[in-house]
Amino acid sequence: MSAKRVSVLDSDRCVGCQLCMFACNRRLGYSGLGLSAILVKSIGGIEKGFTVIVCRACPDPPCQKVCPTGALTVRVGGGVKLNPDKCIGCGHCREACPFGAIFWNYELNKPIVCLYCGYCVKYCPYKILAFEEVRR
Amino acid sequence: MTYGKVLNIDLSRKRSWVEDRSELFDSRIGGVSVGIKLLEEELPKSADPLGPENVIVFTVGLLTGVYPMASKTIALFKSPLTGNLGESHAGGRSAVAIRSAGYEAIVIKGASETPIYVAIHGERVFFRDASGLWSVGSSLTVGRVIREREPGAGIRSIMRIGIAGERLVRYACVTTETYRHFGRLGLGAYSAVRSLKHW
Repeated sequence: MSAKRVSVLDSDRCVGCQLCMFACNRRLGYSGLGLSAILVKSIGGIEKGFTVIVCRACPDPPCQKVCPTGALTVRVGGGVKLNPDKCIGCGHCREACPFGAIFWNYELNKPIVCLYCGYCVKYCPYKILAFEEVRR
Repeated sequence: MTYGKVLNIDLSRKRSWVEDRSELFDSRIGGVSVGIKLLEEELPKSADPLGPENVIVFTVGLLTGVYPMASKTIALFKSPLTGNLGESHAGGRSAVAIRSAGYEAIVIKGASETPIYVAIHGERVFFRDASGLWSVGSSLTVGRVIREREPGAGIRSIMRIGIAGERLVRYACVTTETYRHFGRLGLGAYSAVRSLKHW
C-alpha cells in the first residue's frame, strides 16, 4: 500500500516565512508555533540559508525501534503513528531521529509526530514542499 | 495566556518581573499604541537619550502569532539621533518569538556596568556575560556564538548590535536574525550605552 509524506524539494528557495509551521498548528485548532511538526531554522542567518525539518516517513523508522512501550507503530508504507495513551514521555524517539524531526509537546511531555496530512504544503508560497509518495 | 503580560527587565539590578497590564490592552489595540503609553510611564521627561534613564519598549501586534506572518516588533525609545521620539519597526521572527515567550511587550530599563546579553526563555530571563563578545570585529561571529550557546533554533530571535552601536554611532541599527533591522533613529547606539550587546 502506498503512503504519502511531505517532501522538501528545494530548501534553497525557502525564505523562512514559517507559514508551513503556522499551518501545522492551525490544523489542530491552535495558534502559534508550539505544536508544529515541521521546523524551519536557519543555519546562520539568511545568508547561509534555511533548513526545513519534517518527518521523511522512513520505511524502517529508528524512532519506532527505541520506543519502550509500543506507543509508536510503523505506518503501512512508511513513517510512524503515535498512540499517546501508551506514551510515557521518555524522549528516546526524539534522540533516535537523525533529522531531529520528532518535536516535543512540553505541556503534555509527549512527542509531536507528523500526521502526514500534507496541510502545510498548501501554504508554502514558494512551492518548496510537496506531498508525495514515500520513496523506497 | 499572554494577554496583557508585560515583561520588565532592569539591567542595573539584573532583575526581571512580569506585570499584568490587561487594562492597557483593553482600550488599545497593541503595537505602537500600547508602547507609547508604556514609554510615557517609564521615561523621565528630561532623560538623556544615551543615559541609563532612557528605556526601550518592545511591543507586538494584536494578531501576532495568530495571523501569519507579516508581523513586526515595534521599538520605542528616546532617539540618540534626534533627542525626540524614536520609533523603529523590524520584521522577521522577533514578534512571534516575543509572543510565544508569553509577552505582549518588553520594557528594558537601567544599564549594566559590564557588557551583557539577555536571554529570555519563556518565563526565565538570564543575564549572561558578554564581555568576551564586546568589540568582536565580525558581527557574524557574534551571531554564531550566541546561536550555539542558546537553544530554540527556528522559533527564537536574536537581536544584536554591532561595532557601530558600540562606538555610539547615533544612527546605529539593532539587527535581528542577521537580516532584519531596527534601522531607524539609533536604537543600536542607545543599546550599547547600556552595555546590552544582545538580547
